[in-house]
Amino acid sequence: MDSTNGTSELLPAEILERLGSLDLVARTIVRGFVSGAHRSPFLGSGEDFSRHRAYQQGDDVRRLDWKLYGRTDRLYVRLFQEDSNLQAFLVVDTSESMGFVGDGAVSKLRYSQFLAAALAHVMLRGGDAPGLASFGARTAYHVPPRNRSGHLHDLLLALERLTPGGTGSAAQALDEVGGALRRRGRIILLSDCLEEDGGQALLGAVGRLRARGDEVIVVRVASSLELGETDGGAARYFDPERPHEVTAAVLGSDAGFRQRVAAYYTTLQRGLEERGAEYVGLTTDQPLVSALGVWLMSRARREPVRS
Amino acid sequence: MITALVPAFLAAGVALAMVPIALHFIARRPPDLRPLPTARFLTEDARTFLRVRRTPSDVRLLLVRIGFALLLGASFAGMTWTADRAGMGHVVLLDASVDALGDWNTSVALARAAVEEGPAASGAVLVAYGLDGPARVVRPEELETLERGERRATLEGGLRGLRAAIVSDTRFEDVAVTWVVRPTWAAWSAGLGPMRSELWPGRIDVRAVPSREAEAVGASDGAGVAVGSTAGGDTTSLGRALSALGGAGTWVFAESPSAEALAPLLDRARAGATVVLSGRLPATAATGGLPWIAGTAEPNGGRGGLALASGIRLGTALPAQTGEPAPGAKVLAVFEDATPAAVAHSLGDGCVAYLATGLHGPALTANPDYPALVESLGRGCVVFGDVDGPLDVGALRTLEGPSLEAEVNVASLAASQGVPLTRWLVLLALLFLLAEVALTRSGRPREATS
Repeated sequence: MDSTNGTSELLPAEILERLGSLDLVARTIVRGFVSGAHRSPFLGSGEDFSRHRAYQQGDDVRRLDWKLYGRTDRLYVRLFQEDSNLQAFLVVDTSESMGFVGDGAVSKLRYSQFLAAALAHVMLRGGDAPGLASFGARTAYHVPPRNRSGHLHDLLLALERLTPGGTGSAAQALDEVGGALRRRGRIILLSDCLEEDGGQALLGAVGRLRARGDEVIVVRVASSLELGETDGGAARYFDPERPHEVTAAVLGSDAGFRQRVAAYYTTLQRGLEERGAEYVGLTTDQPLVSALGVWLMSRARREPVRS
Repeated sequence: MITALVPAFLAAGVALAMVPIALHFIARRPPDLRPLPTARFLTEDARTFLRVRRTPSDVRLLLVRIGFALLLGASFAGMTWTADRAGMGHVVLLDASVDALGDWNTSVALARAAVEEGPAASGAVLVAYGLDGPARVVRPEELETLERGERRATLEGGLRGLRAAIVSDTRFEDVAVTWVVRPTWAAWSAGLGPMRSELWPGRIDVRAVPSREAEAVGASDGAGVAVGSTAGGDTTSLGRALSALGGAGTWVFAESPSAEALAPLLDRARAGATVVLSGRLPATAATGGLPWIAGTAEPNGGRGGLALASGIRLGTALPAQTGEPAPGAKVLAVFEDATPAAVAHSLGDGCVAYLATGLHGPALTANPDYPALVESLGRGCVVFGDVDGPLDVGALRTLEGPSLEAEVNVASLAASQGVPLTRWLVLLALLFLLAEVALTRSGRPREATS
């Protein structure tokens, strides 16, 4: 599968912003990522054979390839291309801090909207059933997970209506979304992951989802400025979600700032990976196609086989 | 056209506007307030507060403050709006009061001549005063049928009418004035001398209509001048002054006469002559019709110069004789300390005038206004008797104002007649003040929020 087509890969977010509708944005991104007929990159229990794998204790004996056992005298199970119909939830952070633009062309929320639109497009084409939820001042369910014609339109419309505001807890949102899934599914969190408690509650929620078998992917969206990768100059800075706490600083000369931010996200990433969740760090100045392609292909390479 | 009565306040407003400009540039202000979701990872840097901006941080507030300062200055400056004025005008002021009735043809002829000879190429305007109504602009052809006033007009009234008519009826920017008038003491007002330049701050070309009384004097027997005994001093200057006056009738001058010389002089006064005494009087001559009751002490020290009724000042530190005016005597001049210096009193058919200092001293004779002093003394009883006599040389000079500019800028005079803008400027300044308060209280609305 060719992941890129050369031009749309390089499209930055500000160009996508000019395209207008999210549908067009999603198609543009996916066109750059997918070429020709495509399948879901996720392997699972579909009807189309994919490959063999050595039998492991606990595998379903109904998937043993007895003919191959007859020829080789070794046990193999047959893996199939997953026809998916997996229930998934795109959980978008709409808290006040997601409205931050920084030195990028679009806000973190807008970037997340682009990314969610592209992911929804990909998942629908792969047979999955994506839904949409958001959390800011409160958790809101906008579109339930479905896979039918017109669903993408509903989902993009709901995405388009998201606006930043309030302060929310990702952990609470994940708990509520996990409870809404009727069976095991996939939850993709798009957030800046700046939690009040340093992310402990988030890790707890992720751990609970993983314990019941859900797949959890955390996409951290941040700007280069807030990561300390660019010089913001001297100012009195405040967290949009805590406007009364003002810190006078020179962003370029605070040497420890970048390390502290990096340490926060590294700790969070480590905690997520320890709980079996996937962490993807993106910045708003990254071309979306490139970011999406790299992430999806890397997932495809290390996708655990479902049986 | 907008003019300011007190332009200095405009300059003060500009200077006041410099204050907020300077403060906005040099004030140390905290840096911008910016959002940063990861602000919790920053460490406070106190040096950030010490940064001085090179550009004003609040341009809108600065402009409001500058506007307030300028408006405040303009409010105190007495700004008025007046119609635009341009060009140089020649105004002929004509006395059309009852005083001019007898010599009206002469007045009209002089006025027409003044209109034709006027210095302004843009034309002349004729302003008549002394009418029953206020002074107004008249056309020359109206003169013959002009209904003149039934009361006497004062010279002060003429000047006031001139000013009002020029301000309201003409559109000249600069004005030169010619005045056709019969200048008599009857038309003179107390205090006109000091007020002259305030009533009209320019020179006036006075075209005097000949006085009937002056003609009578000029037609006298030409007895000339009889200078009596003197106690020193140069009488040449006196003779020169009388010659400059063009002959003054039967005036007799005597400086510090003795008791024996005084008696025949008083007899001459009783016979109709005007006797002008000066200097020290004999102590025994305290009565007998003299306008001055002489004291017994020695002459006082210097009392400063003389001030005539017309406002002319002469001499410095003049030695003054002791004494005081006799009952009924008319004070013609005073010393600078306000004590009487010259008095006059009628005696028989004539007049006795007395000057309480020497008339022939160089302190007076060297003064260019010396003839005016001589004339004041010689005509003392004429004025005293409220006879319609002509003004003396000094009063005429006061009226003419030779030291003043020939052309007067009318814009500054008209400023007080325009539409006052002060109340609007004050209102605007108050609005700016409210805006300043509102902007200050609203904090820093321009700081970035996203």
